[in-house]
Amino acid sequence: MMRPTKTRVSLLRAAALLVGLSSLGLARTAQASPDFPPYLKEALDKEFPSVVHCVPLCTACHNTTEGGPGNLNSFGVTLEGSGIGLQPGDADPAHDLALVENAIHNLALAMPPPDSDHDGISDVTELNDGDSPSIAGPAGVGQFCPDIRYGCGARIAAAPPVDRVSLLTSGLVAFGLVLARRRRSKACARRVQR
Amino acid sequence: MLEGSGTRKLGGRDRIRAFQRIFSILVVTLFVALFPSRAHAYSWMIKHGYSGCPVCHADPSGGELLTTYGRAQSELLLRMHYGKQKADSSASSSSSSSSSSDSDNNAAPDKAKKTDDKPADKAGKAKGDDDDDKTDANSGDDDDDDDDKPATKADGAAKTTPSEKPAAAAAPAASESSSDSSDEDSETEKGDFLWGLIHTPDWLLLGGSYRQLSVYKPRGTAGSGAVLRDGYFVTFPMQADVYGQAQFGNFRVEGSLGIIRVGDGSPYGRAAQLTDGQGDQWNLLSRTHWIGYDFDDGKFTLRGGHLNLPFGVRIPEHTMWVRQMTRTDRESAQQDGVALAFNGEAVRGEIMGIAGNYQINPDKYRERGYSGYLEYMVTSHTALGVSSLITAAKEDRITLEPNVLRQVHGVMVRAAFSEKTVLLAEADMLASTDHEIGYVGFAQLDFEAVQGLHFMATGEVLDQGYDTLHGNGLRVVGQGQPAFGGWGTIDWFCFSHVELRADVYSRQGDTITALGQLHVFL
Repeated sequence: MMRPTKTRVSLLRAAALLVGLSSLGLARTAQASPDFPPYLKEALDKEFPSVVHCVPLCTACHNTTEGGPGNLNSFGVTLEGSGIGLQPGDADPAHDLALVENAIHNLALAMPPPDSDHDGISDVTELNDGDSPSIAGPAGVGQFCPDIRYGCGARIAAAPPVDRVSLLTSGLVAFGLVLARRRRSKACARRVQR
Repeated sequence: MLEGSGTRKLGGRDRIRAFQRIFSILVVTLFVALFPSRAHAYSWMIKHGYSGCPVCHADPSGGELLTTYGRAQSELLLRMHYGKQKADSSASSSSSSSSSSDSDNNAAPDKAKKTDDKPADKAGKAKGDDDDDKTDANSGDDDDDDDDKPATKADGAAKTTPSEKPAAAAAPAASESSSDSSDEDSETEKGDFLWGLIHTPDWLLLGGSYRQLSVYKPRGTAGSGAVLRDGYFVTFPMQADVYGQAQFGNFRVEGSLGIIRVGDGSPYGRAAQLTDGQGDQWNLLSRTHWIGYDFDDGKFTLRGGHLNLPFGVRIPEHTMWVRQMTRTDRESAQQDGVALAFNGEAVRGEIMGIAGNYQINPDKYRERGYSGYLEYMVTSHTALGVSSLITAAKEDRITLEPNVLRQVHGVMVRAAFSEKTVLLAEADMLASTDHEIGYVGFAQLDFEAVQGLHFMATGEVLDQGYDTLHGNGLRVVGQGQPAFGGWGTIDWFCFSHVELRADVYSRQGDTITALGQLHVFL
């Protein structure tokens, strides 16, 4: 009676372990991070090498920081029209950066220069000024890379260089403490035995 | 036989126990040192007669840190027991039911009776320590005369409250054989912090959560903007937090600490950061930290600090549209402010004045306003509620639009149709400056085939409202047109404090995505 139950239990546990391990071990560690904002910076740096650009948020091309397909703002639509060639489900790993570079290149050459937010300033000028090409007028100034900052101002300090002498000393002290403790334990045990 | 003082604290001469303790201490240390955490609130616990949250959670509106009683219940009601005699028999016969008979309505207390001697002990201990009519939030043990709160969940004879359940359980449990009792003790002890390896004093609650998420997307772009190529499979630590609460009389202090690493421009985790790394480096974060005061025998809790927004059904799926678009998820949507929670007989609710998230700078991006919900128990296993949120910001941190007033108002329902089936649903209206009126909603049917194994089907709908500022006359799915999504989920609480979850979801305008998640909660 017990055996089938035990077998079932062990099978279930094995299955649970297998699923758990596969979730941990079968895939390489990676971050689900947005790739396009850094590509956009790289493409701008390449096209306009004399200007320092920043890594924008997803809002450079999308309506929200969530990004995602079908959620393009006016500049995103312009880039799409510049031959960026990205469609939902059509991302090509080898050419993501090249596609963005191509679109920025086309944007730079387009005549007349595209003005996605219709504020009279071309997208290229706004991009190089750090302004949002999708938000018209003063509201878009400095908004290509918004000034939003997260955190309370604290920093994770860089690891200090390892002081080998201190490390050795600490190790010796720890070893001594362990030895002393063991000796005390043995003495205590002997006393109790007596 | 004889234990030296030096080894006693690490498990005496028993090497296995010593190893377990050392291992657990290492795990905690690693969590604190290396990773961040999130939490869990299972709104479907209503089927067990738990309509309110503070019995099992430190947060009066649910989520994150568990009380001692909540830990015991997670061990008894949440996880799979693999044919263990009492658990199985009680599971088949005793899960509470909304439906038919009084006997059904008695089910949850019955279930608690079978295996609940441990919580009874703990509740008793806490009560003994707390003889001045105060609620002991850590144990989840209210005084007898204020236990009417959960009592309304059960009709007639089933008016045993969750906090009474363990007490009621004590007698039958005690009458069982000593070996059975010790088995049960060891079972419920596994529900304690670090699987019972560390026993915390009554005034202290500790917890932690680690989630490893694996994402498989055959084609397309992820919701965060991540590019997941053909056949691309990624796995990453989604959450690694530790949290704790100390209680001093009626005062409580709670906080969480974790670490996170997200990509440049990612919206996730950022708003909870403590450290100011803006790139893809590791950051410390704290999702919640508050001080609180319980009064009127624990019916009211006043809190101030960094809090989860009280709104809607508190589900763990932070990317579900209904949480993401209302910005009321527990991933990083918390705000600083003051909140008053009420957990009454048939009504519970919380209202929060939002002072802004002070982990976001500069001030123009902080939203200020209010958020709240009110829920009424229509029957013992059905709750209806309303939620409302209004905030204003000089500049919206998500859309970057200036002077945005954002409103969300909606209704929600939690209903247990049977001992195995629960419906959670919410529908909200979205209103925002420069947008037409939109809406978002979800409905989730949860079927617990056997204890610990859940099958869920979820439907979503979203229309954020046509963007009159940036829409360019284009009404697309999700913005001006409804977008639909569907989720299929298998959620398996396979071991004590271990959850394995697999989701497949598909949303209009995006490609199908599969998620696998390992969740270990300390």
